[in-house]
Amino acid sequence: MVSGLYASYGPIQVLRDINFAVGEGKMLCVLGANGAGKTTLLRALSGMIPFQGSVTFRGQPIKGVPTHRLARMGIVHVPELRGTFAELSVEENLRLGALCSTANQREKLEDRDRVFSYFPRLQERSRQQAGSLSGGEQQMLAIGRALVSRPKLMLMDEPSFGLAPQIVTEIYKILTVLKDDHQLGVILVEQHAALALELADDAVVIASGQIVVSGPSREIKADSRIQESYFGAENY
Amino acid sequence: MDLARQCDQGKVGILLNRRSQGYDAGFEQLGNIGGTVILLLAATCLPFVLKGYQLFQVSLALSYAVTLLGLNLLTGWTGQISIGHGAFVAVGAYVAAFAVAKLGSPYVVAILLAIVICFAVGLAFGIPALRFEGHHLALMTFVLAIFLPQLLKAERFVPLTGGVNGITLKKPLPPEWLPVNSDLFLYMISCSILAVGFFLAWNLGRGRIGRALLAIREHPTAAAAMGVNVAFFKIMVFGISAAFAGAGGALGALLVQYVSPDSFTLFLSISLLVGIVVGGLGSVSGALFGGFFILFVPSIAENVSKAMPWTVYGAFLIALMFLAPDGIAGLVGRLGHWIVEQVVSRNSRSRGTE
Repeated sequence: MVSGLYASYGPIQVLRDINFAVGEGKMLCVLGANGAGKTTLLRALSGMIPFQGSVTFRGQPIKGVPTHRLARMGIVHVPELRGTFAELSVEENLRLGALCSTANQREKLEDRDRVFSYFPRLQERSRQQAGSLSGGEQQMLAIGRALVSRPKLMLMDEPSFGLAPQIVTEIYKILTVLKDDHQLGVILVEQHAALALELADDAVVIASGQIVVSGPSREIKADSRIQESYFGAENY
Repeated sequence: MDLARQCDQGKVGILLNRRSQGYDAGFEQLGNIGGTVILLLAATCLPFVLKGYQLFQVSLALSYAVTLLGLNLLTGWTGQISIGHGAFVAVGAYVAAFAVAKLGSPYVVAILLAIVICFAVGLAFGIPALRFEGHHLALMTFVLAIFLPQLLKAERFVPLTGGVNGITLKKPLPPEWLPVNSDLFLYMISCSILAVGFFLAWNLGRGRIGRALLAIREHPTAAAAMGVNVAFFKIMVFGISAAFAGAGGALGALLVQYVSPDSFTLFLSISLLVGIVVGGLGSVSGALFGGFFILFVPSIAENVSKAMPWTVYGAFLIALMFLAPDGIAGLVGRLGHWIVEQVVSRNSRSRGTE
């Protein structure tokens, strides 16, 4: 639940009066051109930059709460370019993900195995260094690592970045399964609008730091005016 | 892309060596156990082979190794650079010397006191250092290294530090129940402290905390998103690393039985940095190799050329960087791996011909 959020880098105002809500097990996609402020929004929500306004997470205000504390509350950020720990093995990356999990040792192993069942390729490569994985596998690892922390809300920054279309489709398919399995709220920032609108329940479109359109993604998808003005007709 | 970035940073050696391909956990464990056994044997045999002064030198190298263990946690694991670690060594050495010479406290107490005080100083330094990264942090630690020796000489603190004259200690004597001479006694103390240090650094480095530290080095933002309290760990690791330096310094003071401001110059700090890189960044055993390098290579260089020892030293350093980009520890690891491979393949071949 976000209302009246403002954020700035120093004197430069980036986000103005952002309002939206995400329910459990729902996916919201945030669309917009480069530099619209999508990444800034995620960074504000995960406590990496300060913001004005009010944001509540499961009834609790989270303004000024540091990132690591938010992670423990269940907001997990999967950053742009994935941010896997290249020199650690796949297994160790997953163990790091479970660092703030309240689960016991056995449950942590189960969590890990569940990630392996979603992404069998990670199991094959569990001893390999994350830096030697392909881009798609690293994205799978980043999602898996977020998942073992048992999050309630997952912030995903352009998971499709630099990946082949088939892999993107594969990852997104699993993402929707995850969302339903774990009653996970997802805020997805994405350039690839067509795919994001296909999967998300709701969507907001940001331009120059303000929400210009919001609503169920079905409606936004159908609205040709919006498509043309914000994504350019040729993207479809 | 990440791979390319790492190559740029010269970390490719670590990447190739650390449990990536073909390096399964079983072999690594075998290597660790084998290494420990060889080390223990060597440590027991050395006193029978070496004479007094040589044994003293080895002890001194071990004291450097203790410091390097800590610096490696800070720089190798967490990626925070310090070119002022000699200052923490100095604090440890002076605290221990002061405690023994002026307060008459037992050696064990003096060492513990040095560790505790250095831990506190390290924490205090870690808090402002939190605001700096990379080059700025390097400069800040540089300040520490250049100002502390002057502070130790200052008129005002002469009653505490002895000024330019430093503090002289009496040679520690072994307890009566121990039938060894003083050099051997000091060597035994050095070995014990290093062993404890190894044990602690090893456990810190490979467990939960070690993973958190590596995560901070690799990607602080992602580490925070995993629930790692980045600020807390950065400050703590400064404190812990200073505590190791304090132990190393205290040990050095007992070995040399003398501390003076000029023993803790900027050059010591740089040498320590050389020590962890040459020994092996992010490798616990690297500290031992680094300690020996710091102590012996300059004098070896002087034996080679009286006129230009530092040229020889420099050539040696550059050669090592080419031959062992992941440090001597990495080189030894690869050598061990190669030997095992040879033995295994020979065995399978001879079995094949039977």
